[in-house]
This record gives sequence, structure tokens and C-alpha cells, in this order.
Amino acid sequence: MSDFTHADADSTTGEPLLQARDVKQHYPIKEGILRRQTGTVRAVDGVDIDIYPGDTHAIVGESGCGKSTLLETLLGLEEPTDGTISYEGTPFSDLSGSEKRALKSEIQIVFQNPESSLDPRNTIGQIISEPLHLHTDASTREIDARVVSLLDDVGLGPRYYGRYPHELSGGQQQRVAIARAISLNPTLLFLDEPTSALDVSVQSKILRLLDEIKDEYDLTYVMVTHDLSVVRHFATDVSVMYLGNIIEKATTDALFTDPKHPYTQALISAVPVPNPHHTAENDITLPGTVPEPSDPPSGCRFHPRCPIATDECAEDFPDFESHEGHDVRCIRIPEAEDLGSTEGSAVNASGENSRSGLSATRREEARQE
Amino acid sequence: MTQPLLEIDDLHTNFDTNSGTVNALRGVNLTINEGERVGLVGESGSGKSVTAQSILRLVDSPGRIADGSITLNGRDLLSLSESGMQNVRGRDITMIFQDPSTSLDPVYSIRSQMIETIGHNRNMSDAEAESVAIEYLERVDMPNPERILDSYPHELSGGMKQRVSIAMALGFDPDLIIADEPTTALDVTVQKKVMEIFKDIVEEEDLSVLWITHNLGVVAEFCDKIAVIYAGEVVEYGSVYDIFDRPAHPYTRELLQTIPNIERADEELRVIEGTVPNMRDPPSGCAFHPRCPDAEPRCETTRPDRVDGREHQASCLVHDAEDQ
Ligand SMILES: Nc1ncnc2c1ncn2[C@@H]1O[C@H](COP(=O)(O)OP(=O)(O)O)[C@@H](O)[C@H]1O
Ligand SMILES: Nc1ncnc2c1ncn2[C@@H]1O[C@H](COP(=O)(O)OP(=O)(O)O)[C@@H](O)[C@H]1O
Ligand code: SF4
Ligand code: SF4
Ligand SMILES: [Mg+2]
Ligand SMILES: [Mg+2]
Repeated sequence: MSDFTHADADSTTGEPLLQARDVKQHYPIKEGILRRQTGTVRAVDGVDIDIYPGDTHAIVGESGCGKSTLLETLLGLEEPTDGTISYEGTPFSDLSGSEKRALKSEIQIVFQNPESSLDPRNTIGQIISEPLHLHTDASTREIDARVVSLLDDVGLGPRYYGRYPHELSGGQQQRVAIARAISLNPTLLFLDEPTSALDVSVQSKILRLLDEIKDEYDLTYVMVTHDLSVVRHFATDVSVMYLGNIIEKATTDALFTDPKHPYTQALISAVPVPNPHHTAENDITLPGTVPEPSDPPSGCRFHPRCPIATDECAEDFPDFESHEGHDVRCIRIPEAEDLGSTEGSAVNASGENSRSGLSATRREEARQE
Repeated sequence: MTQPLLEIDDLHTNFDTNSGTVNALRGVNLTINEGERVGLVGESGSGKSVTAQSILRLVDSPGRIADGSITLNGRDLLSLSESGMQNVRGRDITMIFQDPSTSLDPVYSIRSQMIETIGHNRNMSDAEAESVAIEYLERVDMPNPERILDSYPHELSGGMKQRVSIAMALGFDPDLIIADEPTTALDVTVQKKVMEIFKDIVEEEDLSVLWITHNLGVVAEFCDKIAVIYAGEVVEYGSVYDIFDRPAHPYTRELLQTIPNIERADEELRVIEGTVPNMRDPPSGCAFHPRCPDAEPRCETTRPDRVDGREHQASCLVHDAEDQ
């Protein structure tokens, strides 16, 4: 494995561990007794992403923008509707059956809710050892020894071996989920909102643990979250998603100190800052709500809510362009740079926009059921 | 302006369960002045929601207020009859919950719910109540109040429902609003909008708010005063500037360093060792001593004086707010 550091991640010299090209995940909407398809949810709608070895790559965006769907698709849990996903340069579709099985142990995932991802009828020991029984030929004794050392690695002692998930706190359950995920020595660990269900003091402990585990196990992380403060502290690279598309990619420092895309700017400016002296420089309150992924706007998907949109923005969805190390899908970057408090307040004043009506929100609710 | 509106004095609330008594509140002191926004912050299980429930005398069974007093405008709430208390709920104090569905009935239209509750609590005719409902829906920036009134809760998104529940709470014309994690379930951009709207109205009407949250970013943006609660007691109280610039209690200091701050990524996140205590058997002396980096032997046996909840104070044997 190449020794890739964060600073190099921008350059294209290294080979990505995981690569997605124009990946789509569409779900049919079926209605009526005949279950006829009446529409399509474009949950992920053409994503390019490169995950380099050693990265902690965060995928951020508001709920429903397609983060979890993208992660599940990248994990190979779901076949993409379109596009190519490659692991170390080989497309998933070119892998043989045994290579696919081998890949399953290379990529593991930790979910937001440990409670629902751990089988309540099994002991912690059984939960952590299951992948080892399934994917290795190790003896029961070897596996037991391994489980004890995994428990130790995640800060739980061997005394947790015989306990059940319900006897553990949320933070301890998340440690078990992490132990299980690293049991097969994966290369890539996917984290779907790993600390969102936890209390602040527990959150910082799990983040510290993930940091240590990453070094010890030489891992690459792909983390999905809506919590930008966590991303700021934890990630090396960030991709920002809006309505099934990535609209900006940059290193973490670049993204937070100098966001380029108007949506990224709005998202960052909305995060409450734990500092009463803080005054927002780029204070942008977005009008309206996120449109339906079954009925995305034409052109730039963000144009109905964008404070600097022009007529041209409704025509074509801009391609990625490079701006000072950021990859951004926006045709008006110089204007976006000036999106200061003056324009921000103009945006504040505008109300709900016409696209978001009751029917849209009703459909949103229905989808969530 | 600095007239006390709500005064909580030495409040004890217990839950008598099969496996022992949970001492959820162990002597809470807190004053909310007229026009003041007070943030109550602490980790899960520290007693935030039980404080809110106690103020409204709606503590879940098997809980009971065991000791202490709560006064609103000088009136003793704990000695009111149940019907007197019903008048207080809705007229004087209203509550906004994390899950707006708690205050919205799924089977009735927004119109019938708003007219019923506003009309009942303010003795208004349906027509008067409807115009109040429309006024507040407009004030919470709802695009088309008439259409919202005709809709049912399931037809609205989470952010819209929360704005409707805020409009309903404001429509009561209360003196005090208790908001328990009202924006926690919302996306940041929606949270920002809801907070801005709420803050504007509260300022215009000079309302008092008790804002319960675990999010220190939200209190920094919204509140004037902060009460930090740990193991059923307020361990530090002060203005937002006192708490963020001059924290005295070791728990407050640790808490501030354990939260990720989008502005200060260079600082390493600190970790508070240990876990929150089990309130069936809270630690002796200072309840924070098993986790406190500054603990001294006396902290295990001596309970520090409680803060009075009026000026910057910390409940600590070692650190004094005045020295900060
Ligand atoms: N299996 C599915 N069938 C239909 N729609 C789905 C399915 N899974 C997700 N969606 C929809 O796809 C969109 C993206 O969802 P998701 O990936 O869960 O977003 P996020 O993780 O960013 O909150 C949402 O509109 C969601 O309702
Ligand atoms: N219905 C109940 N029965 C028993 N214990 C309860 C009940 N409700 C709350 N408690 C306990 O009271 C304490 C404070 O809880 P709460 O006020 O809900 O905390 P939070 O700060 O998270 O809102 C906790 O120890 C909790 O377990
Ligand atoms: S392309 Fe146009 S609408 Fe899209 S973000 Fe840029 S300026 Fe806004
Ligand atoms: S009283 Fe002692 S244990 Fe408690 S917070 Fe102060 S120093 Fe720490
Ligand atoms: Mg998700
Ligand atoms: Mg609570």
C-alpha cells in the first residue's frame, strides 16, 4: 500500500483505493393496485468520487440528499443503476465470485444506530466473532483469542464477552460495532453517522477511538454525516452532496476556510458556533426546502434556492471545474466568492419559494414512511 | 426588566421505581427573569426534561416532586389546584417539544387544533382565534397560512411542523416558553431558519424562554444566560459570556473542550473520562468527583454549596466563579 498523506491527496499521482464514475442509484416509485411505475427517485444521480489510501473522506449534506444510498452502493450492497465502481483499479463488475467475496472482507461498515445493527439475541462475543467464523478457517480457540484482543482494542475488556447488547450503553454498543467491523482486518471502513446518536462526551471518545484504530489498523475511512463540526475535526477530505450529486470536493481545511459553492457556503454558515462572540461573516439563510429527488430541478440542481442564480443556471448542470484546489460544480464562482453579508440578508428576507408547496412536502413524508 | 418571572428553589424530583428511587433532581435552583432566554444544557439523563416536566407539574409516573418550590410571578405553582395548574399550562407557560408531533394531533387539521387550543386558552371566538392563528403562522414565515390551516400534520415536513408548533405556542400569548430540544431533529439549514424566526418573535414580544439542549452552539447563538446541569443539579450558572469566557466549574470547562467546534479545528478534542452517574446511587460529596481532573480528597465527602441560579456561580469546592 502506498504511503499516502493528506497533503498529497489532491494530486492525482497515487492510485485511488475506491473510485466511482457517474454512479447512479434510482428507485422506482410504484403506485396503485397494479404497482405501475409512476416515477423515479434519483437518490444518487451521477457521482464521481475517488477515495485514496489513508484518507478520511467525509460525505456531507442534509438528510435525504443520498449519503447513505451512496455508501451502500459503494459498499456493493446494492448494484448501481448506472456507472462504475472500481476497487484498486478493477471495476466491481469485472470481479470473479471469489474476488467479490474477498472484497466483502476488505470493506466494512459501521452504522449510526448500534442498537439496530447488533442482534439482541447474541452475546457480544458471538456478534464480534461471527464474521471470523464466516470468512476465515481459524479455530474456535483462535477466534476467541482474537475477539478478546478486539474487545481490548476498542476499549472494552474481556468481561463484555458474554454480555448482551441491551446491557451496554450506546457508546459501548458502538464500540462493539467497530470491533466487529475491524475483525477481518479490512482496508476500508465506512462510517454512516457513527456518532450522531451519541451524547457529546461519548461522541468525543468514539472519535478518539476511531482515530487510534485508523492508525493501528492502517485504515481508510469514508464517513457520512450531517454534522459539519465533526467533519472539521475528523476528516482529511470532504465531498458535499446536494440532491444526489456531489457539488464540491476539497480538502477539509480548504473547504471550511474558503468554501466555493454557494450551497457549501450556506451549509457551513448554518452550523451553530459555540462562541457567543461569533458573528457570521457569510450569513446565508436559504429560501425554500430541498426539492424532491423524484423531480429534481433542471440545470444546476441548486438554482431554485441559490442566492446568485441567473437564467443560465437553469439550463445545464455545470460540470466540475477546478478552483484553487476545489472541484466545484458552479458557473459563477467569482460571484460566489463575494457572497457576503449584504447579499445574505437579501436572501434572508425572501420567503418560501414557489417550488416547495404542500404537495412536495407530502410526498417527502410519504417517502419517509 | 430584571423582574424574576420564574423562580425554582431547591427542587427535588424523584422516581420511585421497583429497583429503587431515582433522584432525578437533587436541589435545582434557577431564576428566569422577564424577557430572558435561559439555556439549560447537559448530557442525556442529567435532568433537563424532568426540570421542564416539574415546572409544568407533568412529571411522568412514577415521578413526584419531593421538595422545593416553584413560583411564577410570585405565585406558588406547587400549591395550585390541578385546575389552577391547567390554566397555567397554555396560558402562562407553553411547551415546544423536540418532536413536533407531540403537540400536534394527527387526526385533526391544523385549523381545528389551532382554533381549539388558542380559542380555549384565550377565551376567543373561532373567528378571533383563526385570525390569531394566521397572524402567527405568518410570523413563523409559513408561505401560505390558509393552506397550512387546511392541512394535516402528516402533510408537513419536520421543519414546517416545528414552525406550526411554535406558532401555536406563541398564539397562546404565554409569559414563558419552555422548549425541549426544539431544533435537534432538524437539518442545520432548517434549524437556522427556525431559530432566527423564533428569536425575532421572542425579542419583539419580550418573552422569556427556557431553552433545553445538549448543543452548546445553539445556546451560544440563542441564549442570554446558561445553566449547566449535571446529575440533577445546576453546577454552574451565568451569562453566556461567563460560561464561555470564564467557566469556573471543571465540568463546564471539560464540556466546552469536548465539543467539536467548526471554527477551531486545530485544537485537539478533549475527552471527559468516565460516564454520567446512575441517579439511583449518585456519588457522595460532589457528584462530579469520580470524573473531575481537579478533585481533592474533600470532594468525595463534602457536597459543595449549590448555585443560586441568579448570578455567575459554580457549585465547586475548589473553583470559585469570582476568581475567573
Ligand atoms: N430503497 C429505497 N426506495 C426508494 N427511495 C429510497 C430508498 N432508499 C432511499 N430512498 C430515497 O433516496 C433519497 C436519499 O436517501 P438517503 O440516501 O437515505 O439520504 P441521506 O442518507 O443523505 O439522508 C431519499 O429521498 C430517500 O427517501
Ligand atoms: N419515567 C421515568 N422513570 C424513571 N426514571 C426516570 C423517568 N424519567 C426520567 N427518569 C430519570 O431521571 C433522570 C433525568 O432524566 P431526564 O430529565 O429525562 O434527562 P435529560 O437531561 O436527558 O432530559 C435520568 O436519570 C432518568 O433516567
Ligand atoms: S450554477 Fe448557478 S445556481 Fe448553481 S450554484 Fe452556481 S450560481 Fe448557483
Ligand atoms: S468540588 Fe471537587 S470534584 Fe467537584 S467539581 Fe469541584 S474540584 Fe471537582
Ligand atoms: Mg443517511
Ligand atoms: Mg430530555
